[in-house]
Amino acid sequence: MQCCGIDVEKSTREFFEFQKKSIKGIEVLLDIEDRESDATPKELVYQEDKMKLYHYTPMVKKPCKVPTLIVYALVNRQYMMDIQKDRSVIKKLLELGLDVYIIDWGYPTPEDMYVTLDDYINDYINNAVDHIRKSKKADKINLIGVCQGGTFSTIYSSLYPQKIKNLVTMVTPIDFHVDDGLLFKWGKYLNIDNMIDAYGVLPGSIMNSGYLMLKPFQLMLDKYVDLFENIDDRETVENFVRMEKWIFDSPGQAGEALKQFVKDLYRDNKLVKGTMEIGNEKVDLKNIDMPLLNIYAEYDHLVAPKSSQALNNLVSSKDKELCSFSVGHIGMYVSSKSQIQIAPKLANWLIERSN
Amino acid sequence: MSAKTLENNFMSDYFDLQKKIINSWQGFCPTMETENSKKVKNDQLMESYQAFLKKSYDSFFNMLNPLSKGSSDNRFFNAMDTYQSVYRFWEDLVTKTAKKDLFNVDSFYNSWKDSYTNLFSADWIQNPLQFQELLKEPLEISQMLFNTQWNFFQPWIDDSEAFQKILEKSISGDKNAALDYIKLFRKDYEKTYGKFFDVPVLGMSRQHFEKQLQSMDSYLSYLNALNEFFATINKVGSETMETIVKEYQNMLENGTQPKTFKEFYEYWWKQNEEAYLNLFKTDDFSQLLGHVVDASVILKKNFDKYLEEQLDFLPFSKNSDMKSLYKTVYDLKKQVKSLNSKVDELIEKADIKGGSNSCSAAE
Repeated sequence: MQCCGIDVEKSTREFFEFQKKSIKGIEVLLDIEDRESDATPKELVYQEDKMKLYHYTPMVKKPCKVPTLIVYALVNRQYMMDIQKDRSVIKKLLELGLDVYIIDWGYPTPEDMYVTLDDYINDYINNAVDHIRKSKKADKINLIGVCQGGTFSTIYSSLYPQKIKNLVTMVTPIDFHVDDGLLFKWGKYLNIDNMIDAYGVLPGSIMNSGYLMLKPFQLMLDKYVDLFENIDDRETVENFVRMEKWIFDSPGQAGEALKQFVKDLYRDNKLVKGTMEIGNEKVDLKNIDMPLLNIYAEYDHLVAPKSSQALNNLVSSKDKELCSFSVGHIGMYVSSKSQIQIAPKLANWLIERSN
Repeated sequence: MSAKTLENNFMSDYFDLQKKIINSWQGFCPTMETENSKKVKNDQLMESYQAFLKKSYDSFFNMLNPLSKGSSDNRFFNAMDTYQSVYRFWEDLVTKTAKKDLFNVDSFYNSWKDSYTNLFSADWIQNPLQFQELLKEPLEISQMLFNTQWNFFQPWIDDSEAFQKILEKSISGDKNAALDYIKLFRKDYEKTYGKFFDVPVLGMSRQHFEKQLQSMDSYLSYLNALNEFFATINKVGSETMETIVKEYQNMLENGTQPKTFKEFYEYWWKQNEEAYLNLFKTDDFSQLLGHVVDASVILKKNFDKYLEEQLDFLPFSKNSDMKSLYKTVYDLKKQVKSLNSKVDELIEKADIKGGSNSCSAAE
């Protein structure tokens, strides 16, 4: 039955359903459990300034002999890879036999405003790598870099190829001058000098505002309306709340490091051009000769697939693989595919090459 | 001109556009007057149906609203407010257009103008970069300081021939007129009054006065940039709404229009998302965004400097003192790390040497 172009029957059904959900939804909202993320057992093994290196308790009797270090981005927190028990990439990697370490960058405060990319790569990452090598008596380790952490890991592997057995990059920006991707476009026009002068450590909330603008109606309106549609489902609401907490748990960005990252990469694309310098050393991606697994997300709205794909043509590794999954940037770590396809692919690829 | 005024101007324009939608709606709404009996039946049905829907929504939001109190920064509740407002608008539109003979477009708009502004007041469109967080306090203080100065600029705007022409264009319905007006304003400002703030100042309070002028200049530059930003956002919103109207008319003719509020909402947000993403992809927008962000951080920098100067007599360390201290600590830390690593190397070398000596001795 239609009236003024409205399907009365369908609308009525929708509203009955809406009412039922509403009543149950109130109950759910008032009684949701805030189950903790970052719950897989681990031990703090090394600390330098705000950087902490954790070692996860292995979950198999004989874990892979070559230890694996995960380097996460400075933006957002590394526990996205251990968001909840039934969706933890870390837990899955441990179950599949990897011996996993992870860097937690912490929350920069004003005193960290002068920390540079040189500090992050030549000090923090290098010291973490050396600590693992020493404690495990291993010449080389496996390195997994995630997002901006992938860019750092790529740079690190080109500077210290002798310490890296296998390199895995995930949703990693490499070519910053690709046509796709709003962040790449906007980044070029930001006067980063003024931003850092004004703030010292750029607040995470400002970075988040930019990310929300990438899909304004979806991320600021429809996402919540969609939650409302499922508000009677406790598990959906709890998962949503956990993700929401993670999304807005955004550390500030150390000014000097961010300045170089924006100028050298977003503006000048120096990594691809081969003109980037860390400390006083040139970053030559041709130095990367170890096996490389480069994974990107086909529906990534933060790091355009083309930007990640570029890496395989810039390294000299003979054993290199480009691999994609039909997920988004975050879905790479929290979707069902992350458990069924992505983590197994990653673990098997590393184990095969760690003998 | 405050951010609130900008927002209200935006909503005024938005409402003018909505008027067009209603006119179109009236033209295309299925005629229910062919049979008197059918008309009565449909009207009654519609009334009871709307009453039912209203009850449904009210009952839920009455329950939800106490939860949202004290959660003013809660994104979920903000989104729900927006969703609820879109619904109220849709509900009223459908109800009133059903009574075609009694429907008055002007009174409908007047009754909705304020409420519709609230639709966009949930913190996602009036502050795409959440500038309120960035600049809340400086802006509030700046506004107090400079409100009286603002009148100074009014005659300049009124007397400008170019502005008059643009205004004429605007009256004749030129959609680009508002944006042109703002662009011209910014250009003229930078050429005239912007320079005024750079004029060297003499006398005992020279430095202090210069800082005040710099702060005023950056505040006005920021407002100009923000004005242009919102005019651009507004223009795309208007164009999208027109597109939606046209498409909706076609859909009504074909019988494929959204048949429930849920369908209407899905259609509405996806159209808007696409339109804004197309805007965001352009170089012009990227430059404009860069310009707004830059103007805001320059304002913050100048205002911070100004505040530091005002508070100089207090026995507290200032931000610039702390920055200097942070730099010293950073440099010292680097030095200590470097020395530590040299010490470690020396110890290692000494151990090796000691080890080989003892081996030699044993041999």
